[in-house]
Amino acid sequence: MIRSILAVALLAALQGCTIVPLYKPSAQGSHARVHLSDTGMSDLWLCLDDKRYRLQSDKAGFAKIPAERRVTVGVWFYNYVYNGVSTSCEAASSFIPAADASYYVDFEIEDERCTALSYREVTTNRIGLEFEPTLQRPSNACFMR
Amino acid sequence: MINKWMITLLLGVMPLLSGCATGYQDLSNPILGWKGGYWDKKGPGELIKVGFAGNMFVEPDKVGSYLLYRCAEIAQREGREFFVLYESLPAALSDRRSTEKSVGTVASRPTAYVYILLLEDASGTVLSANEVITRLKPLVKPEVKS
Repeated sequence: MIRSILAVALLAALQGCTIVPLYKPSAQGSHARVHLSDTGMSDLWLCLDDKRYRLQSDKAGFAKIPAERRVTVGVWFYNYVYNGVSTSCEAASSFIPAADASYYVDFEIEDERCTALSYREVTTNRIGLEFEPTLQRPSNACFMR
Repeated sequence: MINKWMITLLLGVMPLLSGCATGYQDLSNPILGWKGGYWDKKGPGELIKVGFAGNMFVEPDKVGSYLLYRCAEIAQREGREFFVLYESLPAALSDRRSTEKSVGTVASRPTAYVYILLLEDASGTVLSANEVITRLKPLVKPEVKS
């Protein structure tokens, strides 16, 4: 009887959980790279054709993403301890990376909401970034509910 | 029902709570940092991101003053007299300069950040580190009269 109750409880708990696969760049095709502003405890993810993947950064903090097609790069921020108050939030931005280009994802928490904007990294100005002209609002399907 | 014990308790707790307001201090301070404080980190590019996290007992206006004062201190720490203040990264990329930052809340606590770009000379809308420190010092670091 107890086993049955535990099994039902476990199934109920697992319902709605999704195992997000790790993004593995293909050997073919062009790529760009992305890195996240230092935000502490956060996960970087990639959404391609409304399917979500985890992004794993290398030692320098960069993760490879496919180029020349629309991608959504997002951040899931969790266990943010602010004066003892923990919270979590999620934000993303969608753009079309150019081949071999480098992108910076600026994740911010302000006014009780979080945002993530992607910029192209350049060496032509003091800020080292420029606006990404292909930036768009991400598809709702990229967000886990 | 409010009785004299509750009033006594409230009168006793109020001064304690006012002493809990975030002061002008480093967020990484091992003793006082739990109450909040200032922080900074370099990047992207030559920008420096400066922030101040307050607790529920500090007024948002005060957090704004603390943040601006810290920006001026960082300019001096880096050996520059002038700096430009940007409210966000898009503002920095568009060179939309500000002279102060409106303070919002995170988890109901007043908190804010800005980006600063350090300059050697005053050109356009810039802030002088000396002027900011002179103007805000009485508020940020008031002299204790003995």
